[in-house]
Amino acid sequence: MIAELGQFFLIMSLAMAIVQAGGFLRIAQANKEENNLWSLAFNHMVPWAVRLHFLFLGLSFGILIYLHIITDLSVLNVADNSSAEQPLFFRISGAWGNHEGSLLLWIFLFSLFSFTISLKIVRLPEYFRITTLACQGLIAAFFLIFIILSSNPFERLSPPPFQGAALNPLLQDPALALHPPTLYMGYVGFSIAFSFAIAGMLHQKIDREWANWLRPWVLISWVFLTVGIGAGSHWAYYELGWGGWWFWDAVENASLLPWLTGTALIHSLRVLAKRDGFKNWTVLLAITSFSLCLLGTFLVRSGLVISVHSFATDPWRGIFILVILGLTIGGAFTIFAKYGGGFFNNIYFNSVSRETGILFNNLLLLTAMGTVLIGTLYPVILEAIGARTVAVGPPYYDQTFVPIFIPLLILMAFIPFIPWRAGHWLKTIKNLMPVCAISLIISFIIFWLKPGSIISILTFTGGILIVLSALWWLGMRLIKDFVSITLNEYAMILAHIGLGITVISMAGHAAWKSEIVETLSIGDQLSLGNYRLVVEEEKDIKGPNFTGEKITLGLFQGTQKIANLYPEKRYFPSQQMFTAEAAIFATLRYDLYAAIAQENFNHPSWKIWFYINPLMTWLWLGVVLMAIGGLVGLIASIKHLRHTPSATPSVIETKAL
Amino acid sequence: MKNRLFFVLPLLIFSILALYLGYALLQQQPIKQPQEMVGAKAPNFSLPSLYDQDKLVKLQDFAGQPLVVNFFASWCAPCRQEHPLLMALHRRNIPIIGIAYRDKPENTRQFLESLGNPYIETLQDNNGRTTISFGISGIPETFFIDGNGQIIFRYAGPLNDAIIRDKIIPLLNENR
Repeated sequence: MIAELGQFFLIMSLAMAIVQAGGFLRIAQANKEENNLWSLAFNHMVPWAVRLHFLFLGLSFGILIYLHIITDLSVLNVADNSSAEQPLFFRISGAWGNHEGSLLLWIFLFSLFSFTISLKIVRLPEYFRITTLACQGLIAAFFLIFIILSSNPFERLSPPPFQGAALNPLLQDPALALHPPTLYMGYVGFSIAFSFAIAGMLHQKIDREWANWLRPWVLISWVFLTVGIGAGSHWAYYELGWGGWWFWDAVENASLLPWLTGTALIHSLRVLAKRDGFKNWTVLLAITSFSLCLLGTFLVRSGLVISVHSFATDPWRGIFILVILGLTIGGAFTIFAKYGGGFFNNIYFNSVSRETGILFNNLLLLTAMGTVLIGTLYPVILEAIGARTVAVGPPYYDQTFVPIFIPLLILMAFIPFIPWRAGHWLKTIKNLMPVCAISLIISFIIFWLKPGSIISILTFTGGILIVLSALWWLGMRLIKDFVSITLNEYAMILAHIGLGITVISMAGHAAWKSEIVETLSIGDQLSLGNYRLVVEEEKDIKGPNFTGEKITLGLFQGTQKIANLYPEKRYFPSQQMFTAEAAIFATLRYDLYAAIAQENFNHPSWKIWFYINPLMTWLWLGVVLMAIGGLVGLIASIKHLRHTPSATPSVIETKAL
Repeated sequence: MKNRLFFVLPLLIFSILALYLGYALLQQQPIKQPQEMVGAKAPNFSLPSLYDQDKLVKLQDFAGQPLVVNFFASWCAPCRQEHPLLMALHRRNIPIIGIAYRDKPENTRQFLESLGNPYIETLQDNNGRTTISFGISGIPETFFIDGNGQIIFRYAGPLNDAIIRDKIIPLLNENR
C-alpha cells in the first residue's frame, strides 16, 4: 500500500510541475502592466505549486527510502537492489544506487533548488521569479513523465522473491553513498543558471543585476560539483584498487564537462557584473553548462557508454531521455538563436586587459571541454556508424587535454595581475618576473633530483607558478599597496591556490609513482624504494553480507617499523563478486598503498600490490581548497546581494495587495 | 543583424549531436564487421614480451598451430567486458596471444593480475605500429590465424557468447 502512496505523490508532483510550467503564460503580461489581477494570480499560484511539488517529491523519495529500509521485496526496485542483510546505512544509500532511485534523487534535489527560488528570502522581481520557476517546472515535468512511464521506482513484483539481489558491492561504500547526492546537487544547481538564462532572454534582462542574482547559484553548484568529482575520484582511488584516481571513464568525463564550462561561467559572470560585457557569451555558457549536465545524465542512463557506473539499460529509455534533451536544450538554443545578440555590450577593453585574459581563459576551458566531449562521444558515434566498439583512453587525453591545460595554467597565473580595461603586458611580466623565475628554479631542482617526463615537468611548473603567483598577488596587495582585500578576491586566491596544488600533485603523481606486485605467504616480504612490506598475519573476516580475509602487513622504512597496513578482500556471495579494500598509509609526501589482487583467493599466499603514490594527500587538499574558495565567493556574492537594493520594483507588487 | 550565424551555431551543433546520438541508440546492434585482411597473411611483428622486456616475440614463433590474437589495453572498458570470455577460451586450452595497445606495462600487468591472465604470451605494442599493420581502428579486436599464418577470421569489438559458440569454436576445431 505504501508503495502506491509513493507513486501517488510522484504523480501529484508532476501535476504541480505542470501548474508551475504554466507560469510561462504570465510573460504576455510582464511587459504590460505588472499589477493586474492576472499577474498577481500567477505570482501566488506558481510559488505555491513549486512548494507543493517539492513536498510531494520529498514524501515520495522518503517512501522509497523507507521501502528500502524495511526491505519490502514486493517492490521490484528493492528486490533488485537491496537485501535485508545489508547494514542500515547501505540499505538507505541503496535507494539511490540504482537507475530509478537515482533519477528520483535527481528530480528531488532539482525541486529543492526550485523550492529555494520560490522563497521570498531570495530577492528577485516577481516577473523574473515566475519565469524562472516556469522553466524549472517544464524541465521537472519532462523528467517526471519519464520516471513515471519508464523508470517507476514503485513498480510491484509478484510474487516477491525470498531474498533481494543486494546492492552492487562496489557501491557499498560510505563515500559512494554520498557521492551521487553531492554530484547531483552540482548538476541540478546548474539548472538555475539555465532557467535564469532563459528568463533573462525572454525578459531582455541580461545585465549586471542579472549577473549578481545568478552568481550565488552558480557558485554553490560549482562547489558541489567540485566536491562530488573529488569524492568520486577518491572512491575510485581506494576502492577499485588500481592505484589510480582518474580513469577518463565516460561517466567521470560527464561530470568534468560541466565543471569546465561552469568554471568558465563563473569568470565570465564576473566580467558581466563588473564591466557589463560578455552578455551573449555568459548566456551561452549558462545554457551549455546545464546542457552538459543533462548530456551526462543521458550518457549514463541510456547505457550508451560502458562504465563502472552503468546500471541496467534499455534503449527505449535512451530515446526518451534524448527527446527530453532535444526539447530542453534544443528549445534553449532556439531561444538563444532568436534573442542572442540583442543585448548591448557596454564594454570596451584593450587587447591587454583582464577582460581579454578571461576571454582566452574561457576559450581554452571550452576547447578543453570540447576535447573531453569528443573523446567521450567518439566511441559512441563510431560504434553507431562503423559497428566498432572502441575505447578512447589516457593516450588520447594525454595528447589533447593536457597540452590545452598547460597554457591555461600559465594564463591563470598572469590574469589577476592585469588590470581591467587596459593593461600593459611588459609591466605585468615585470611584476611576475621573480615568481616565474622562482617557479622555474624550484621545478628545475626538483626534477633534477627526481627526473620525470617533459609534460609532467611543464604541468608541475604551471602548478607551482599558480600557487606562487597567487601568494605574490596577496603579498603585493597587502604590503605594497595597503589595499584591503575583498572576500571575492580571497575566494579567487583560495580557488587558484587549490587548483595549483591539485595540478602539482597530479604532475608529481604521474612522474614519480612506483609500484610492485609479488605473491607472498606469511613471513615473506617485498621492498620498493626505502620501504618494505612484511606479511605478518592473516585473518578471516565476516561482515553482515560478505566474507573475506584481512592481512596484516608490517610497513618498514629502513629497519624501523612505521605502521601496520590492513588490506582486505571481500567476497559478496549474493552477487558472487569480489571487492578489494586497499590499505593506505598517507603522509604528506607519499601515500603507501597496499591492495590484494583478486587471484589466489583462499590460498595460503596472496598477490599483493604495493604502490608509492607521491603527493596524493595534496590532491585532496587542493580540491578542498578549491571548494572553500567557492564557498567564500558564495558568501561574498550573497553579501553583495543583501547590500544592494533591488533596482526593479518588486516591492510595489506586494504593496498593491 | 550581423553575425547571426554565431547565435544559431550552438543550436546547429546540438542538433547534429542529437541526431548522431539518436542514430547511435537505434543502431546498438553491430552491423558490419571489417572483412579486409581476412584470407591474407597475418602481418609479421616483433614485440617485447610483457613479463620479459628483453625477449622479442615474433609471429613465426607460433607457426604450425592455430592462434587467437587479441588486441586490448587496461584502459579500455570494452576489453574488461570481453575479458571473462577470453578466460573461458583459455580454460579450453585455446592459445591466445594478447597484444597490449599503447598501454603502460605496469597497468597491463595489473589488469591481468586482478582479472586473470588468459594469454599464453602478452606483448607490448607501445607505439601502436603492429596494431595499425593489422588494420585496426579501435580496440578490442580479435584475429584468428591458422597454422600457416593466414588470417581466417577477425572480430572488431568485444567478443560475445554467440560469436564464440557459432564462429570461433567451429573455426578452431576445423583448423586443429
